[in-house]
Amino acid sequence: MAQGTVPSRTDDVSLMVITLEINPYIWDKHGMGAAFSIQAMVEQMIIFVNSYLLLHHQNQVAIITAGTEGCAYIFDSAASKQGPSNAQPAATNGSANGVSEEGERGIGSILASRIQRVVSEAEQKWKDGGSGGEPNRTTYLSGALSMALCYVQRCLRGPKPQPQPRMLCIHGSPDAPQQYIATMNAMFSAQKLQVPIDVCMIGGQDSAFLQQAAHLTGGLYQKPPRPEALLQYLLMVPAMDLHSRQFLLAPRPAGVDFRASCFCHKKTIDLGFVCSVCLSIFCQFSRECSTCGAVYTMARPTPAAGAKRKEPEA
Amino acid sequence: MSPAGPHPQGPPADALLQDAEEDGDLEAEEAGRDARAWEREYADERSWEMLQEDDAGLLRALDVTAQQRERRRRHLAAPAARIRRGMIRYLVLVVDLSRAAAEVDFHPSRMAVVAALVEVFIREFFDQNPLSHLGIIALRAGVAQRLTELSGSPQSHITALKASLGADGEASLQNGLDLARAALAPIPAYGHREVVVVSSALTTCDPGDIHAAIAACKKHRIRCSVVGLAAEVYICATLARLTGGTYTIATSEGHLRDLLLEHAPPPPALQQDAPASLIRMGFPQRQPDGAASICACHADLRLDGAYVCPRCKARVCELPTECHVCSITLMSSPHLARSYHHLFPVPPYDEWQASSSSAALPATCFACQAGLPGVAGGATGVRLVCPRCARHFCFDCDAIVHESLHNCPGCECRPAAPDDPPG
Repeated sequence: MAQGTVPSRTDDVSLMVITLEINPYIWDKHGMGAAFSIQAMVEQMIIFVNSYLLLHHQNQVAIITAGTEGCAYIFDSAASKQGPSNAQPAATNGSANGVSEEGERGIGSILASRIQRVVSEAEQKWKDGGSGGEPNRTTYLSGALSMALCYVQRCLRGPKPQPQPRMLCIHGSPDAPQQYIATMNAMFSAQKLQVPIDVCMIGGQDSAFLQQAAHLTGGLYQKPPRPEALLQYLLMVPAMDLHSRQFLLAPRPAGVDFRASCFCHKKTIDLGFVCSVCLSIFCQFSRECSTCGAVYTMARPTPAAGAKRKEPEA
Repeated sequence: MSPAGPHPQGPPADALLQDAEEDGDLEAEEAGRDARAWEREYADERSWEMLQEDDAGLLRALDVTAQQRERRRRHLAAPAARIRRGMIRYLVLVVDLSRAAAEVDFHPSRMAVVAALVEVFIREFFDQNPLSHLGIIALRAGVAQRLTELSGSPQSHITALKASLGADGEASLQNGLDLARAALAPIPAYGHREVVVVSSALTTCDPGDIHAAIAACKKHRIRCSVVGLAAEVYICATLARLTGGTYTIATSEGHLRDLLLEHAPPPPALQQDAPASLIRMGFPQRQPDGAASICACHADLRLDGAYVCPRCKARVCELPTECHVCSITLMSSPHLARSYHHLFPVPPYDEWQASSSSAALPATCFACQAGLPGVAGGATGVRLVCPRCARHFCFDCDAIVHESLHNCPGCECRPAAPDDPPG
């Protein structure tokens, strides 16, 4: 599990796994409101990826798109460097669709065409779905983070010296409560692997999930006030390698909200009750757990009478 | 190693016959009484012939399918159904530091190996059970000595154990159990009481009746498990059987590590063991960095931010903990979320069978893009399929998903199905 501790990784070669949100709902809103279209974002991303790859000739990058139709790898620099030995013709699998056919030259055009294809597919489905049924508006953030972590671990299994891995999450949509557990699981896994998650929020609101992700994993969280200047922000903050971060003053978020929200009224609370069986959080006392059905046998618990005051720890 | 191989000079027929007889004898001997388990492992499997050097100079097995199936057996055995578990655990770790712990059959000594692995275990325990408490008792010179009180800070346990290493005298299981029972007496009813004994000694030297101590443990619903380093001991087996614990014997250092870490995830629990209750908890806010405050736990002046107890406004410097002033449990929501994966496990993946429809096989793992076996020019090993989302995964991602990530990347990329865990 703990594949590589920090010393076994070189400190100047990086692996960056980027999860890029391509939810048409977000980009549509942006396209109208903030004059920042998805095309402009793609152009800026290409410049960012190219400049990141120029920082060191062994730097690696992988890009995963997260959308309403699922997540997919659209770019993998390791596959393009290894050449055809690792390239399986994967016409049947949308996620791996010939990731390795390009050379070093054409990153820009290939990235652009793939992102365009995925985006237009998503937009097409969105328009088709608009006529019948409720279309899915949620971005599969937890799926993209899970795939990114699997990719990072694959690189950490590879030959030494291993690159320093980190993740960059370019995200815009609000948090989806149904992904809470999965997103937290991904976060803890990243924390255990010592993979920082950098976050760049391009949406209108902060994401509590990603704030916690950046805080727990030691990554950087930023919410650019002007998303149309995304490239500037990306080049200033997430492009820093982990070694340099020790010497630079990175923007720090004002605070991270660690308070829990109760399962019964979705209120944010700072004092509450927790079921001892399933650890559900409630804001008021009840006789029975609404999540696991456990019946509480004791009367309203008071702080244990026999609880000793602890000695100060040395 | 292969006496039946062709002789270069072409020996006479009777010599060949004799060779064949010898060969038969050898085989019988290898398989029979004289060969020890570890010898048989080498003689039968000839594992060195299965190795190949890859491009990066690492040794890789030629066909890893069997090896991977063997390793998958472990999480296949884990129950996939949702079962009730003891999430809030109070565990007393009893470490045997008697003379037997100075034996050198584990290198450099049993004691050193146990100390290193207990450290791994303690970190893993608190990683998986952030709400739980642990204490350490050492058995040495016939007495049981409490090294640490039950508490939630991994570092203090590890330093205390490392500071008091040194083997001496006999081990007394009864004294250890009595002290553990005393330590577990005041904990709240909803907590699950557990004792894990890491035992090196083959004897126990007790002042009284150990069966009475075992019966008392059973009466107080303390689940006692034993991990042995030497050989199976009757009284340990009885202890584990009567109190509902497990008894396992380590054959090697790696095995000992596995056996210890088996105690890290919360064990299945019965309802009568610990009645359900609602626990009052506080979720403190973090003060911004730079504000000077004195923490209640160490009485230190701190500048790097502290957490403020929402009930009594005392400051503590780390979570989870118990407020030192009003003794409410202080917690952050990620700590609770860290335990949720025990409640909603990822279903085990199925091994893909070549007979099932081979049309349109994905060539790469959905999660990590590594090449999968089963297609032309693919890797060796097993190909796994998630029963819920039907995506294909490689062996390594299977291990990652089930052991550390606890999410199926495929299932997270599709709309939630009715049988999925609630969010």
